[in-house]
Amino acid sequence: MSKTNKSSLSILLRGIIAENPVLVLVLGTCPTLAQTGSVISAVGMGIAAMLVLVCSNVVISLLRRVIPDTVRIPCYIVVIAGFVSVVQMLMNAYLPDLYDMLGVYLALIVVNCIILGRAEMFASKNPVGASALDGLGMGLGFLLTLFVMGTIREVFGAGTFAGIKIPFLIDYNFPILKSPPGGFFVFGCMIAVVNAILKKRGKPVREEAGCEGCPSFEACERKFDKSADTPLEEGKNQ
Amino acid sequence: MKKNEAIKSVIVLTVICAVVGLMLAGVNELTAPIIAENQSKGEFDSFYKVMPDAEGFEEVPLTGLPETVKAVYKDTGGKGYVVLLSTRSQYTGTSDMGITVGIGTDGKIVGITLTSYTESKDFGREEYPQTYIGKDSALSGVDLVGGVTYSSTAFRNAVSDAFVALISNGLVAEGQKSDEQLIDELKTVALPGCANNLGNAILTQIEVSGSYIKEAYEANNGCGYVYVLDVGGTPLVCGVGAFGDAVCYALDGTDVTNDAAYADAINEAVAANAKKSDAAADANIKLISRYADAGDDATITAISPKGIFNTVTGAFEITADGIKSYGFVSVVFGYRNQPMKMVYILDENGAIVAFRNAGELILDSEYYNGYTLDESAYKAGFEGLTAETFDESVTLISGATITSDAVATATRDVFAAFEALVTGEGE
Amino acid sequence: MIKTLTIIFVSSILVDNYVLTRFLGICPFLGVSRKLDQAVGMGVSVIFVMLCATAVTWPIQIFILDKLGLGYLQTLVFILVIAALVQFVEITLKKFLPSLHSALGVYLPLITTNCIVLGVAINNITDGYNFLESIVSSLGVGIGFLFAMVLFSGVRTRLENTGVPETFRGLPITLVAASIVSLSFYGFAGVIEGMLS
Repeated sequence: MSKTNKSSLSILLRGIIAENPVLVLVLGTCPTLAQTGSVISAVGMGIAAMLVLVCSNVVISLLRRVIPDTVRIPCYIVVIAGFVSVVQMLMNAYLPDLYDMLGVYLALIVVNCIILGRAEMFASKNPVGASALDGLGMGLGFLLTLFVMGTIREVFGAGTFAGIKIPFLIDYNFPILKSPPGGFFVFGCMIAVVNAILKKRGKPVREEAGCEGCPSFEACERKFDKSADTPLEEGKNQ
Repeated sequence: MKKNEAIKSVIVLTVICAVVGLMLAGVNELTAPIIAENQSKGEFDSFYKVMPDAEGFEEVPLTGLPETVKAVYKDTGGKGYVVLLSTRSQYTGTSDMGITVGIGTDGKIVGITLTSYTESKDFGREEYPQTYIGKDSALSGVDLVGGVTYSSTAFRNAVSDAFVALISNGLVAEGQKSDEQLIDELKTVALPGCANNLGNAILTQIEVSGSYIKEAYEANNGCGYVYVLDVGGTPLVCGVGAFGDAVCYALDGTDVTNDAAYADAINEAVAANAKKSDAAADANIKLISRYADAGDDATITAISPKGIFNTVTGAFEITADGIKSYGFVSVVFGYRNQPMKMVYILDENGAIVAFRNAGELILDSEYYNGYTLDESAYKAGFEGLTAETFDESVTLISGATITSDAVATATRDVFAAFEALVTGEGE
Repeated sequence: MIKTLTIIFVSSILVDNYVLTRFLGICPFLGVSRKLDQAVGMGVSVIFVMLCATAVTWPIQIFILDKLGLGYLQTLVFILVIAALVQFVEITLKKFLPSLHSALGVYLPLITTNCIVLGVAINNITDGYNFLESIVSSLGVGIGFLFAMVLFSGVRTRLENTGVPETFRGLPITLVAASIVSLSFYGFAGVIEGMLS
């Protein structure tokens, strides 16, 4: 896959901007929509996911020569689930309010396409250092996106920022932004903005939800009607 | 080669699982005690939150508590009680709502908080409970929140239960109802005929102008009117029955119908809707003549039994071939509060000659089972019964309790109307 | 009892629709809802997998994890069980019901690590449902998913024929459409209240 620019900084930055997992690769949409109703839960979710991503990338990269190809997906899942459980337990103990807020979505990090996707695409093929940086970059990209979305939804949807009331907006706001339809809407608009930027820079625009994070990407590609899907960045018609 | 690979795969997977499992067990050892502590600390935390100046808490062992009441604690310093509640929104039935409420010895809420609530719909975690502070068991003035009525209803019922638990065990006194609540409750006392099987008044508000009349309601079954009067600042609830009689109550429940001070107000109420609809009376007369099988030369005249505020909306005397009998029309509320018109023909001694229903007998069970009733056999069971021999078992329709109750009410009311006629006319 | 089950069933289809109000199963929702036959196939597979998953994970939680105090292994165990289960189901289908496999088998791998299946399995436990309630809930969630998918495929078919501004083409307009569909489901809240009162 990689336009492998071996420079560490570029690996890091790529995850934040050029290949932002949420806005460009369109992975991990579930927590993005669900937990961005408020800034605190957005940041909480982002940090939790980032931690899991970095740790699992590191471990999987360490084990990359050991794990046989046939069972690689289950092994990745076990490792990721392990870290998710650790984060769950730690959060339940030390940050119980945040734990209540995130609810089931914390556990669902284990099936987050971003993490499984990076394990499959990058960590299993690259050394530890680069994997860690990749995880960090993607994680930061995820976190920042969630933060921005959470800010928009909370500030304009409830007139507060992380619970702090904003004078004018507290009286005039759009509660719908805080609710599920608002989530879809804001997300759609953000992707539109990103598309506009990408178009300006002449990069191809993704027209379908990114699937390559799914471990079943191979299955999907082969069996679905090719004309229905649009060309993804990775040479699809190879 | 392939077998080797397969074995290797399984081994690697198993080893990874084991390692991860051990790591999780380790973290669990570390965090479990903290989590447990958080939860128990959380419980007492909320106690102090709802009763800040309490000294300490001791559980009060009580029996026969409502389902939502999980525990009752009393403040060792004597300031009051803390009740732990757990309820669910009846409608989504998903997560539990944990409520902790502190009630002072004076029977008023001093503090209240939601201890757990993970519903996605929010009715105002902090703001809504605060509307309960200072309220007593009457909970007057507490609103339900639009859009999340089931959650807020569950909340309110739970708080009500907390009071029930304390009051029934003699720990605090019952609260005082507000005037609005008292007026509401008096509506079915003043006009019993407007109540459905649950005791709720089925009324429609109407516009009536008058110097004493503040609010006017018409009973949906036509059995009369309820007026809320204001006589120099004193609210009164006045019921006017289908035959023009009035009864009037003060908010404390005393019957003030004959109180001279209120005579003008009561008369105004009686006069307000005195003009009877002729069309309605004619329709009833047609029904009576049909069901009484009286023949073309029978005379049917409308009569007015005294003191009737029940479901009887029409009373008639039938004279045919020199034989006198009576016809009564009663409109009762059946399933889903739909009015059902029943017609009873009684002979001059008050025994039922015929029982008919003017519309459909609306059965609750019809909605689920396509239940059918042998109506003629059912109605034949009423013939010959008098007020003394009447037993409610004859009204029973299996699987249709609301309808059965309605018919029982109608029959009782008709006998009462007949009794009023006999004693009133001195026959 | 029946009333509880009915409430659970109907509310998970209409009011607490997992896709439109809880944001689970978004990836297949956005990716596979373009054509009606794909949408239906995906939806039916999801229902099927969900029922199997619940039938297996609920007993495991109650009889093994809780009994042995191993609650913290829930995430790990559930996801492994679901993944294994789906694999097993796929192989079985291929062998014994090849026609069904060719219709639905495509979607099965996509569902394995999908948040909606794991989500409903976990939620059944968190909500404290007994076995029957969990099954009914999963059935409801699955049907809700199917319902949303079918509705949405209709919307998307219409979208394809309209002139969408360039920046909004593809995913953004899909998401905006989804937001409107999600909004429309709010209307069901009142229906349920009235129906069950």
